[in-house]
Amino acid sequence: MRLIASIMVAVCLAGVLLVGIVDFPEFGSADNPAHNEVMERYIEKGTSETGAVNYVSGMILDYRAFDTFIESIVFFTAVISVSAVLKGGRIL
Amino acid sequence: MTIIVQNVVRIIVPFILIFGSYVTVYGHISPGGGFAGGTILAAALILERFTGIKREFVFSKELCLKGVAVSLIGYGILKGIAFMEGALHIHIISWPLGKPGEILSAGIMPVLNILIGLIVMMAFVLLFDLFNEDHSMEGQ
Repeated sequence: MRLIASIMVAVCLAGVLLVGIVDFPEFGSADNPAHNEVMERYIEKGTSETGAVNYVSGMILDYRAFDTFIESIVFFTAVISVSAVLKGGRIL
Repeated sequence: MTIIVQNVVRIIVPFILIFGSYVTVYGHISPGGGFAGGTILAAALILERFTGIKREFVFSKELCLKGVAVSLIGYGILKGIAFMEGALHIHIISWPLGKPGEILSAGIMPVLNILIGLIVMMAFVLLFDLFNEDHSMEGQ
């Protein structure tokens, strides 16, 4: 019974997700929403605005610095969780 | 581990540490950055732990945890100040961008890179230490 119920839930979730991607634009077409002016702005003004020659660093440490911050926090939380699980509730 | 492995690792670890520091510090100039450099640094320290080499200075678990926490707080404060300065147009502390291509350029980006490298290195070492120690008698 539980197996049938879980299979039903999985199939329903997969169906909802598949319905969600029906309206996606075609892959590689020129008028995709991703092909907007943001990309050209980063390529043209990235170095002069952030001062970094490496575009990727300029992206993750200047335009998207808080994303990197939260990534580090996720990593820290993972370490704390592993510590708490292995130590039976205590940290270190 | 045998003495041969220990001696080889003893020779090779400083070079790995220097390379990891280079990747971290030059993150805004060349490919690399805090995540990659921190992983290389952590790999060197974990290699030392695998072979059982004892050194005077050890990244203990407590030091790693405190270091990660302090680095995260430092990153948040530093980038928060820079972000709010740019958003509100109040330039109390101006971060000079410098000449692109030099080490001391790109504002606070090298500092953030070093902080990210420290966070990744210490968190990896802490994870390895947590899994490496004996848990057979605990949690009962």
